[in-house]
Amino acid sequence: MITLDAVSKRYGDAVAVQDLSLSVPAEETTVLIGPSGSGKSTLLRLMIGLTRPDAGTVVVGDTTLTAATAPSLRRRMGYVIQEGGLFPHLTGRGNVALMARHLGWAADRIDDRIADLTDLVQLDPDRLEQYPPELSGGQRQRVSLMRALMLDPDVLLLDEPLGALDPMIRADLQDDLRAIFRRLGKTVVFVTHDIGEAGFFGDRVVLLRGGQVEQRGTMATLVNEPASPFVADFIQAQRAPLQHLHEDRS
Amino acid sequence: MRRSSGFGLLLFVLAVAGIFCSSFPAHGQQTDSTLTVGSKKFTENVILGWMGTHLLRSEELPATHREELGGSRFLWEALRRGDIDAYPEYTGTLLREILADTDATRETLADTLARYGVAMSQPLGFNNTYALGMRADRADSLGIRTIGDLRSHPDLTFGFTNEFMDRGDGWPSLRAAYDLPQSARGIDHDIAYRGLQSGQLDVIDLYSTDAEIERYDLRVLEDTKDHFPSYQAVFLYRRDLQTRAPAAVDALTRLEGQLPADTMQALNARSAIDQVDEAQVAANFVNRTLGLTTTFTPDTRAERLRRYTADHLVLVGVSLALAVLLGLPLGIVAAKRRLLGPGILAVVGIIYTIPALALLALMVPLLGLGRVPAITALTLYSLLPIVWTTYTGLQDLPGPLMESAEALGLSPAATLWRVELPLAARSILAGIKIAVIINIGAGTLGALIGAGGYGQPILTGIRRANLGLILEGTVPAAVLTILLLGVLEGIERALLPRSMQT
Repeated sequence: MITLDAVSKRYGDAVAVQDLSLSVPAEETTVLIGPSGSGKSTLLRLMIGLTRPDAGTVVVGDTTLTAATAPSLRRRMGYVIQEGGLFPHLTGRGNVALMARHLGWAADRIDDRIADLTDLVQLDPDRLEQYPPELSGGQRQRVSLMRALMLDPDVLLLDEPLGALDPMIRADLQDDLRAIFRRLGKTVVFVTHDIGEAGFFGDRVVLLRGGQVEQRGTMATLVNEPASPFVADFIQAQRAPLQHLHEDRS
Repeated sequence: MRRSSGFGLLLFVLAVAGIFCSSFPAHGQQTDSTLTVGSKKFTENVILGWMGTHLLRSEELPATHREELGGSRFLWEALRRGDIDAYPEYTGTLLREILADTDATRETLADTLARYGVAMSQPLGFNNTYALGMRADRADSLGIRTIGDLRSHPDLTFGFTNEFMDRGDGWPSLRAAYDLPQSARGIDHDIAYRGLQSGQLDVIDLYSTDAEIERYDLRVLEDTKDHFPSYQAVFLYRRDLQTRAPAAVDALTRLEGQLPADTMQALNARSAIDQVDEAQVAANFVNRTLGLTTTFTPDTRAERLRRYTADHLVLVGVSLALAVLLGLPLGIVAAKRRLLGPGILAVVGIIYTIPALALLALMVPLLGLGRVPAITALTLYSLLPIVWTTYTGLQDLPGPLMESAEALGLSPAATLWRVELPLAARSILAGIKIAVIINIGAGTLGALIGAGGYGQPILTGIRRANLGLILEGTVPAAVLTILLLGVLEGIERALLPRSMQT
């Protein structure tokens, strides 16, 4: 569905993505993980054209992403970021309906679509009349997801969407999100630095390091057959605290 | 109604209000057949201006009086442009100042004026020359009788009108002629009299017919070198008046020779000392001397206030609407175009540093007198806060929000209209509020170029040392400021979503 071919991106002297090729299959969830600075957010931004590659090409469906094709391609992609990026001057409904109104959808069609999405993300409909600063973090992310899904895109890109939430709400939303992804069967690219979350969501996991792919495969492959000491260390670093508790109990 | 269109509505309302306001003629705005008399902003000239106006009206000619205009140059330019048809002038000012670049002499003055399309009446009678004056007691104690005597008292403090500081026959040439050691500072004429009284000033310039000479017991220092030329009062009028309205020329020339120096000084005293309205003083004189039956009913305070308020609202409203219509796009361009941005910000900043009086002086030769130049100047001033707040408002928007808009697939234009301008609205409205405050304050200077407004009573009040009149301008200006800010506050509450209100 999305194909990156020999893509490189630098910010000044810093290499963000280095000669990276990757194919994201349709209708599956691909999780990008890796430490800070490994290039996972940049990769996501390259996929939706917020960042232009210095070299290489990005192809979405069968269209090459360029300045000219970006606006129409973006309407086939939904994008959710950590803090939601909701516009504070619009209500939840205003945020969700923004693009549809801009594209001239009829009011009935907008209302019907919003009603469906409200069910899907399990949001109290009254919350839609509130402004983003009046909503909780979890409610804001549900509204963000509705906004991303409004035009029924083929692709959903999520950049640490649960990163700013407290653990209880995060767990709730993880369950709901996975259910939504399965139900919709969309192509999802999910960025996280949490291997637990990666394993929970990912049909396929791509571990990045220094702007390059270190290993790809299922979570089980990464855990059981790490391709390098780095992969083993990265996984071990996040498992260590819990293991310590297990040892205490035994 | 959607919030995103609220800001557009505000712009629309301001623009319509501006166009609506500007369709009302200003007080004293001339229609084609109306004759307009001008006068400078000192008592004697205002009285003469009213005499001319009364005389024109006695011939059944429709006439208005644009009184208290900012300086000889303003009136001369306005006369040549046809904004005014006549005004009282002095031969010395013409020779030494206005026509200083020509070879005109007293004998050839009328011919030279004709080249500019201007005609001159015979002298009205008095010679109102420039002079230097001191308090008589101070002059006596120092033994000063002539201007030359000042040379041996280098410690004396001189305060001269700004016009006198600059004029061809003013302080620089006087200082050279008498080899005087002192330096001088510029000060308003009416305030100079008060400085002289309080002892803060020792020597001021004055007009030999000033009523204050007698009232404050001043000594007029003898001009033994005949430095100051003769300042015979005359009426200047456009030459085309002779064919356009010959009766007007006949009316104005009836004043020739009717005003000896002591008569003029007494009339000046009626107004400057006794606080009688200049129009009334002029009416009494023409009725008594020329047998007219002019009746003059001065406006009541309420009538004056209504007129000043209407004029001031037009100045502020139209200039504000224009400044928003111009400033908002300029601010957007400044924020969006890296190359143009610094230039735009610098230019509106530089415009703002031009002193208001200088900006008005630049406007008169181009745009004449009245509302158009005043509104132009105010609009230029208001650009600074509006352009800068629009610029900073757009620059300071959070990056993630802008990326969200881009990621949604909104075009740059739609992002600007649906996201950026609404988010910057608070900042932009703050700029508009600052522009309102600037406009109401700077608008009082509009009276200097005949645009009326609250500056009119302030000018008259300063001239007559009348605190009541000064307050008649300043208090309503303050009230208007508070009211307009309240209205804008209300608009802000109505338009901005609650999430963006404090």
